[in-house]
Amino acid sequence: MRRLGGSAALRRSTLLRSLGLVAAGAVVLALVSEGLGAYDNLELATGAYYFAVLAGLTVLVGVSGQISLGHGGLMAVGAYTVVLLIGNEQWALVPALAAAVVVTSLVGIPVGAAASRLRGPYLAGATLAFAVGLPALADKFPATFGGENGLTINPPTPPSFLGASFELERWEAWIACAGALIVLFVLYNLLHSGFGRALRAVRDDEIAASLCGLRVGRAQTLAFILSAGCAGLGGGLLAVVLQLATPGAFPLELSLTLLTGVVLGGLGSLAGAIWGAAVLVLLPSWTNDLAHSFSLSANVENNLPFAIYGLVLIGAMLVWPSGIQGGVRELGGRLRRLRAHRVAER
Amino acid sequence: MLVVEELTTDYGAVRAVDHVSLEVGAGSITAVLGANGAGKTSLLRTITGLVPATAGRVRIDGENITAMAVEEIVRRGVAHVPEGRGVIVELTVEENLRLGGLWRRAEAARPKEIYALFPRLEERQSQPASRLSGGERQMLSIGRALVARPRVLLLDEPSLGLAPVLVAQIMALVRRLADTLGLAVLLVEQNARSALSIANRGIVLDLGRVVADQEPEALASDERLRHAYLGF
Amino acid sequence: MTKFIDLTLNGVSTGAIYAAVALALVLIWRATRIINFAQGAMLMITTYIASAVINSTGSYWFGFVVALLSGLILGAVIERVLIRRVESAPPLNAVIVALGLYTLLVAVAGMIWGNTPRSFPAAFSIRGYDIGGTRVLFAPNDSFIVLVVIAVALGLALLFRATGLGLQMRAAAFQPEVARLLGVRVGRMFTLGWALAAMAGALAGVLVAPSIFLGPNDFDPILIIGFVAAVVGGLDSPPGAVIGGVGLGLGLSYVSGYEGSALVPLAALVILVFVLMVRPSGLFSSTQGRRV
Repeated sequence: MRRLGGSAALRRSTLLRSLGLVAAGAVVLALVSEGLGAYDNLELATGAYYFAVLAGLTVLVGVSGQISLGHGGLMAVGAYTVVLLIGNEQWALVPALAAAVVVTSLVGIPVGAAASRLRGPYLAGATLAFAVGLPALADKFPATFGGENGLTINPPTPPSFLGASFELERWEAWIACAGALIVLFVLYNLLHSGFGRALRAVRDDEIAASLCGLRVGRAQTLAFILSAGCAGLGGGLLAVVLQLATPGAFPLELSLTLLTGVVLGGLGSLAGAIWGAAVLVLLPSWTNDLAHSFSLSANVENNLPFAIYGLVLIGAMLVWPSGIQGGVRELGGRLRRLRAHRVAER
Repeated sequence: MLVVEELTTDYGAVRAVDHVSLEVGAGSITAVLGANGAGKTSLLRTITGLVPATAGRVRIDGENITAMAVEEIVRRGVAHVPEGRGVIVELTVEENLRLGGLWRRAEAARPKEIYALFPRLEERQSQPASRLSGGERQMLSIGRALVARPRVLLLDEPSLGLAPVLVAQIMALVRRLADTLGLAVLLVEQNARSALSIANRGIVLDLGRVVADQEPEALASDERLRHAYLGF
Repeated sequence: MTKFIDLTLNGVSTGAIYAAVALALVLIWRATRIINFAQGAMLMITTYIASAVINSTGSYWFGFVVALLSGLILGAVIERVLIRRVESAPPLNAVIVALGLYTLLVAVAGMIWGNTPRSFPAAFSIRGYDIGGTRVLFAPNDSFIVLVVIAVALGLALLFRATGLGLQMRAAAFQPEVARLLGVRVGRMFTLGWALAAMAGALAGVLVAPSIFLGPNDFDPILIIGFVAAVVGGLDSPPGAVIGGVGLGLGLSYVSGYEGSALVPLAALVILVFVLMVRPSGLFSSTQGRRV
């Protein structure tokens, strides 16, 4: 009885801590968005929907140990769901986003069940083919999905109590950030539950985990469905922010970029997903600014941002093999040791 | 032939081999005994350069090989038969044997010479090594080490997982190889009794340190050592 | 019926190119357990080099040889300089480094040669053979493509099966530590694996360039299908790569001819999923795939 009570207390403290995190995050994001202009608010919104996807992907790749090159395809499912429901069926924003999560999770069930049978590069190949093959559906059924040009919706309107002068971009940032915080809340609690421990056990040693009575395939399928739901929400938010869904918005590069984001940020931690989202948003615009600050020939100027981006990816992996979060943790450890050393010397 | 001086190996903060010194002459066998985790395997892995030494030296015929790459140490005549036998199961028996002597080119032993030692291998020469039994894998692994005509043979737990009859056969073979080929053999074993039965010298490791270095008979009759470290 | 024959012939020649790409990926996977996402950019660079050489010397064959040699060198340099540093890191790090390299090489090509695609000459005539009065969809150049890829595949098979060097490369790939204990210079074998792979890739680049255009991003679709072919065939198996490549070439040629080219990626997905559900490690793989 006491042990049960203890674990309930633990659960309650995790819940409280996650609520605190979300509240603090909401305040910080609201203040930040208050100080940003229209363009930067769009960047914030972009970072927020990237975070939603990366957080789910980091649970899949970093915690459950699977790989996916197909999350761009899952985002497309979420985006088309939102655009179809809002555009054709006149659904409200929140139910449409919820439907995006549900539909993408449903798509994730067969994909995840298939994925749980595959390992390493074979899984990479299957998910990659998913990312490449899915957008072709939009071309095949142009009457429903609008073909190459995709579908558009009207921009969301800020509620009237926020005042008439409330910018559209700020409202979009708020919507996307709210989605990101919900993902943060759900995943934080899941990772600190038995499910999170089961996933880690499966990642570390599948055979040992199955000998301990864990159903490996089921745990991996669940992780895939979970991350699919997050990708669906992220894709739905993208559709709301951009007010459209086209096949061209979800190329293979998107899936690869997402994987880059989770690895670069630091696999398996939600903080790493935050770093990853920040890098995915900021790095391209920084490299762009940098490239255009010199006067170069058009060929060089247009390609320099990509060259820098590639160099940064390579360099980061050589310098921080466990991602930015890993580097930060190491730095923190070193500082702590240094301080302990100083205290001891005194 | 093989001289190890004050050899020390660290894995991060853990000291696996702690100032170990030993010598093995041509044609003689030195048994390294001790419990799991005593540092026996780490000692062999440091000698062949698979893990870097923190301090100390390894010499072959007077030449210092301590900081050399594994491939270079092998080219000095050291053959290391790793724990768990290390046959490459994706290759055939014959391919495993040929692989052992490629760097020696024309001077390598022919597979025929190895088959003379282990007739069982000849019957299975074109089968993938994955089909071999535990004892056959051990034969292949030792045979493969001999193809390069080494001067020093490092054996890591050759008796592991084998039936007692096979263990006795392998031990007798190791003794014969040392005698006929003049090999210097460093034999790591948990099966102390069998190892001491063929050894010229016995060394007991505990937590990386040498706690005894004696004639085999003296070791076997030391009640205290037997109880504390050797388990018989 | 004529259409079916045409599609079959066309499938064989494009399949040969997929096979060459798949071989490049399989060689690197076998050597270092890395999926080389930079392969497309590497073969794009070597094809640009070939194009530059052909334009300045006027000799196709000189450009052809230079492309293969520069592939060899590029592969070796990339393994030595970049890949060696991430071989001991978590496997995904190598994937990200390869993606970074891809982005970098594409950008460098754009800086030097611009982003506008250009044409690339074929070795032989691309006018289809005349058989019984009808022109078939298979030209002398297609014969060349098929023959070269067969030659390369046989050469690699000979190298791996019949030579000491090939034996050492296989041993280094399967069990690097044991191989080192047997005196195999494992690092060199890895470099050689990358060099040979990049050469096979360079070959695929020059062979396919006449039928697409030569631009920084124009090889990506071929690379994706080559990857699917490698996975279908089994990443450890060079014969699997060839069979996977030709099989996929045929299948996609039929889909594209009868159902329209828009469905090709989807068809590749269906084929891949079907094969992997039946054989989770590809058709011809003997060993278990490591986790990426």
